Amino acid sequence: MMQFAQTAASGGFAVNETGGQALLSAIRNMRDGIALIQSDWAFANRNIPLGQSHGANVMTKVDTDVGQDDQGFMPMLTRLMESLEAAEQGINDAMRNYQAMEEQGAARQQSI
Amino acid sequence: MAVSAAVTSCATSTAGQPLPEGDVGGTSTSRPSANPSSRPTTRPQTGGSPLADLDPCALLTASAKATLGITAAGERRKILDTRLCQWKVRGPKDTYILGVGLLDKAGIDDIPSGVPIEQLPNIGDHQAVRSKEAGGTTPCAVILGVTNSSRVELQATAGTDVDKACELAMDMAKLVEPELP
Repeated sequence: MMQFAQTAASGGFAVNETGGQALLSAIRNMRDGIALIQSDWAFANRNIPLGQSHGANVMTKVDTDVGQDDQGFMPMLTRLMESLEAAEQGINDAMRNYQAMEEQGAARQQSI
Repeated sequence: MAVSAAVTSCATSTAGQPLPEGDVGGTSTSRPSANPSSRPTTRPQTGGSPLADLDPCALLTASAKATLGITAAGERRKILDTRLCQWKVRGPKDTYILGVGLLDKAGIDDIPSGVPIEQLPNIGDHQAVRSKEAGGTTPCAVILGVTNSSRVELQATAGTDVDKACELAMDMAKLVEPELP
């Protein structure tokens, strides 16, 4: 997704306003959904009701690791969120590219 | 993530204290408080939880909501034992998810040991800690102790901006604290 954002930033592709806004809206909805999952998980993670036995203490730690270690659910969600932010930036750049192309085209027609 | 460690740990016996879920707060064996000197600000519980009759959506007053930019009604939910009110606030870049959670049967010392917490100076009359996710990712929560076995959690998400999330959580904590018993 970083490559996508870099290509857009360097003028590699363009998208018109209507298409760009539709894509931005979809990305925003996805990001909102991820934020809700992150919020729910964090509330649950502080309140895992397994009791106070030794086994429960071990399992509480395991449950936390499943969510938080490098390959865990939460870091993956964070990486997805970062990718969506990069995609958003790329689409904004691509919309600016389209606008610049339109202006160049209009200027060329006037000069003919 | 060491699943095998969890399985093999059953090979040796270690004394424990199995308790039903509802008794978690009474005889906590979780990690000691990071700052014992601040403990007196969470009062020993007598009788029922002082949070039992509180509505999490009512803890933010109208002026507090205005300060935080909340315009829509909160959504009441329950996540495990946490009674929660949640609001969405449209920011310039991200949608912030703001939540107020009440725990009637678990205090600050009952937070599982795997959850990273950081001691904060007291907020008003209440002990305060902050919890960020491992790796410093969002969300960020400021947690206020009410009694040894009850707490209030103020949590915010702000996309990938953990500093903004912590700022929002702290703002909520300062606004909610005067409303707490």
